[in-house]
Amino acid sequence: MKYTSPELLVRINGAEGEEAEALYDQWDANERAARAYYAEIKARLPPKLVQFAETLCLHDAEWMGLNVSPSHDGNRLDVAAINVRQQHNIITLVYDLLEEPRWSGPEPASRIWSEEQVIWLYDEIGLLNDTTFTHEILLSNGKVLRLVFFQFNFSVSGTLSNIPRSALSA
Amino acid sequence: MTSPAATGKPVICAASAAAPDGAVYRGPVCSLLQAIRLRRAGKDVVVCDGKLFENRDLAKQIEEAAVGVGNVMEHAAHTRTAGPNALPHYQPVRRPPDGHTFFETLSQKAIL
Repeated sequence: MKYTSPELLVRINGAEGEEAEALYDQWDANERAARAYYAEIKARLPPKLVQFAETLCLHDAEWMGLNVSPSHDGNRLDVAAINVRQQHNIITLVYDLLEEPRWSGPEPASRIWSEEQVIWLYDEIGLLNDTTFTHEILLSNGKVLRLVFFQFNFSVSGTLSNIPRSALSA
Repeated sequence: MTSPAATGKPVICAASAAAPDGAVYRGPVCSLLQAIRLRRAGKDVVVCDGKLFENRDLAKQIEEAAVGVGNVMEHAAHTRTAGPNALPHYQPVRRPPDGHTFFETLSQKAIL
């Protein structure tokens, strides 16, 4: 990831006393640079991707998994779907892929990464050219997922826990 | 109105993080013990007014006392997605409890 550095996050977690101040300065500078980059590319992103970026914050959302549906006939491209749970909602992100999803990390190895209760930490949207976009997602197990795609959609739906118990037993 | 600049000792407050721009509302002042109890109950707290490293050290102390040493992760502020006023925080790796222990930095402040 270009702006949200897992390495910097590991260093922040291990910092003692005043050492943390310089690391937070670096983090803030990266966040400013990321906001500037997003402002620069926003007009060239698909409207749904802009809507996602500006209306949903998935930090702390429970990671439910990535599913890739390969094309059966070889003539169509794969579709990837990510599901996360946030409070009483399931959020589904759907990508028309141009490349296979790529996992990396955890890098660097650290005690802060955990495979228990994996959550969404940070993400970055990128633009490769006018029809090719990227989405990188850092999870709490230290792994980074990189998706390269040309179309994007998302949906938010309530879970059964939203429904009153009385309605379920009726 | 934001809290004062970092000129004093760290102060612990009950908090609410429901603001749409990521801001953390600063509630009543509480003691260390009260803060630990609030965190164990899944409520948010915020450490304000001190220098960044003082606020951060105290926030870590609260979170570790509430959820256990080794079960704590520090999250730098995610200002791009949560909003420009989001604060860094500690939270448990394994929940419950819900909630966070936020802390102020030089530039990011809780809202009164």
